[in-house]
Amino acid sequence: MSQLCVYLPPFSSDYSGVCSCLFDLNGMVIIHDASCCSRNYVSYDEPRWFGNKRPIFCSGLREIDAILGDDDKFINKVLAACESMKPEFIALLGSPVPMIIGTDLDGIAQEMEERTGLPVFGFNTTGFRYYNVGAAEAMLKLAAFYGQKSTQPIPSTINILGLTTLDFSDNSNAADIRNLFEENGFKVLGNYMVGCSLPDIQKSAQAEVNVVVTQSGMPLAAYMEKEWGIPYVAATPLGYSGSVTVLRTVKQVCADRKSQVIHAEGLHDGEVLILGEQLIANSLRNALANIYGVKGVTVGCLFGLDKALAQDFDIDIRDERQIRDLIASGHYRKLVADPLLEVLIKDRDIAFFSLPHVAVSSKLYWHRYRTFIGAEMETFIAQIAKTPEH
Amino acid sequence: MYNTTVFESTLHYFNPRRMHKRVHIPESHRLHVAPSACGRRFSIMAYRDNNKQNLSHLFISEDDVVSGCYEDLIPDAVEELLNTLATRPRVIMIDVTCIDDLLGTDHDALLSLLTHRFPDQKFTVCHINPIAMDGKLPPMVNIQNKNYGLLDRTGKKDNAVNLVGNIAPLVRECEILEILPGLGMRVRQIQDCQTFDEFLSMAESRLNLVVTPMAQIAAEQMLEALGIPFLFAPSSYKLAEIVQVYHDIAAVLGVDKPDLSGYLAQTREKIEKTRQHLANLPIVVDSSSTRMPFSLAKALLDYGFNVKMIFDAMILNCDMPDYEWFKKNRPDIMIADAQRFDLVKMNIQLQECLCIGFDSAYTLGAKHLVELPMDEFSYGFHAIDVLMTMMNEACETTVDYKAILKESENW
Repeated sequence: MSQLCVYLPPFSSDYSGVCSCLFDLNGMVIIHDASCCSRNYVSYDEPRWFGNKRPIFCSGLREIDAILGDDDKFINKVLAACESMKPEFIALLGSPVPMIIGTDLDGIAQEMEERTGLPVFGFNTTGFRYYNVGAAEAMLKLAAFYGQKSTQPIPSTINILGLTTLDFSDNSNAADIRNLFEENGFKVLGNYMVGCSLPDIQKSAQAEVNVVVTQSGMPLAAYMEKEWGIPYVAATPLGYSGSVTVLRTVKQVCADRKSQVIHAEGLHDGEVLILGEQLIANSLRNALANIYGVKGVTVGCLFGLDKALAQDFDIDIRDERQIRDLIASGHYRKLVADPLLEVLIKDRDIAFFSLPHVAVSSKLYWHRYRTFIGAEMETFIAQIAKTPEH
Repeated sequence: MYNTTVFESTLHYFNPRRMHKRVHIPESHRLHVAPSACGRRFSIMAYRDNNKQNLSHLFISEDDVVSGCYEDLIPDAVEELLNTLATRPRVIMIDVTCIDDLLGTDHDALLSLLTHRFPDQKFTVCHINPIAMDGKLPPMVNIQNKNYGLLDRTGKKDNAVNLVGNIAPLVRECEILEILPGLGMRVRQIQDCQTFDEFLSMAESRLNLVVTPMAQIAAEQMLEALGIPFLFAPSSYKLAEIVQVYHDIAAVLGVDKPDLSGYLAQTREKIEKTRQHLANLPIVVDSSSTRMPFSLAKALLDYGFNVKMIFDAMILNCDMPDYEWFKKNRPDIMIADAQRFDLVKMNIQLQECLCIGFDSAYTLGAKHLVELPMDEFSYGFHAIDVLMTMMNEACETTVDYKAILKESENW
């Protein structure tokens, strides 16, 4: 299938997902690239970069090093920086060129770990995959390494998984979601990954329940369930009533210890198409169905479809032409998506509802983000439901 | 080599600075062929510049790379692109990235294939490959070569001088737009061209004035392909060098030297007033404001300003004489690697200073900032005039970093 993209930008890639997750920790992160990948992250995928100086670096890879496979130069640069920066851990990230020349970042990490005595994580990111893949890998590696399981979970404690600025930007969303739970009797142990610390990650193994707020948190949720017996709830709290639903479900899962993906009843392929991050889109659909009875809502997953979260009519979006064809099919009368997707609508009778997503529109909208908890999102959901179809 | 490595090879830290724009050839369309990650910043920047309609992407997958024939995807993508675009472009500029350097794509064969399949369509392939940043053809040089490489010999010549290499259009107040017409020459630049044909008429000019070091090879190619002589005259803030450029232009054109006395006197006066106004305020110059920060720093020092620091990442060869001068004669003036990793924790208390360039200002938390986007504001005497005006204004104001952040996100 064609991968031609005429109207939309490329979405955030895997290395940005890793960097975003590691931003708040006292580690040293190195993208093994020439400069473009690092600049993509710092200038276009990280709303917190301006005003915060974090040790996330570019290796300055050059052609001769790539041709000769000179990993020593890379290693020596990292070791020299490590000496100066005194990080708590090191993360080495790949990019397209290391992928092409077969750089073994896990192997280099292992060697560097022996030389520094620090934890060193290798991420074989490639720039060919989306941010959620990188974010998932980062959360998983950190939890698996630092998590300290105790025999009994701490009652009324949760972790929030998949909370990244690539999904929620750097407005109050992350704090709002945390506060929602803390104000309703839960203590948040691990806030994966906004405002997170290594001690938080250590404690997170003792949580009673995980709340997965984006698809990128699902691999970690599955890992924690299998390894540490922590069940999860998969849903993003949205608005008032959506938040209440999530809280109620978390309490239920605390009691029955059975993981739940929150789905409204009676959903079908209908007049509303939501294109975006799967779990946020799911949660928006749930709110439309539960509050307003709008049940004909299809989710188009821009960053890959996780079957565990999907309805059977949901769509795994592979390329821009597929989106154009879907919109032009005449099947959908309302489209909810990042504002850059509006240009794909040729039929004036399709109503568009803007839901900015950093991983799509980058800095163009990251400071014009919606707040997910409370009145603004409640109003937005009402607008989608109540706008008459043409 | 365009630059000389003088700094220790370390990890790089990047400030949140703005991207440099890329010149748009009228009626052209860029097809960026790369892993999806590589094109993100170009795309977002194109939205910001209201130029996204002229940029498309062809995403290649890991499988395409492994199969070793990702270029085979391009002809079909071009066909789909031409069927999708409302207006057929006159030229499609295919951008390839770092990975292409390692895959050894045969661009001549690709161009031949494309030209055979789309006989009425012009194509060019351009490397956007920062992995070759320290090589003979870094990306900014490649882009210039490919842009001007689109020009064909027409057999005609007219009385015009091309500005070669400038990214932003020259401001109308610049004296070169008075002086050259006075010598019987008009000025051509890509930014003034409304159509591709108008752009092609740059091949008929009598002289190329290379206003950025990055366009020197492009000018050499134009000399060979089009017979246009060139003068290498990158933006300078030194009065003597500016005078010499105008004298050289006159010599090449075979006309009398222009009278520059009025411009010189006016500029000297402006410099002196600014120097007095700034008193002894420390000044920092960095490479986010000019391609040749050592040259600018030397000019300011000679004018009597209190230059304290110079930031650069890769020192261009044409800036090396001034770098060497500073090393030998002014070891008290600090020279810093603008990309070195430990900038992240740089702790120099120089807030009461005026930085020419955002990078140094952001790093030092400077109070006063002159933000020049890479010399792209003017040229010649007028460039000095503008710089002095901005320095005067900057020393009276405190930089608002939040406003800069907000402006960088506007579109």
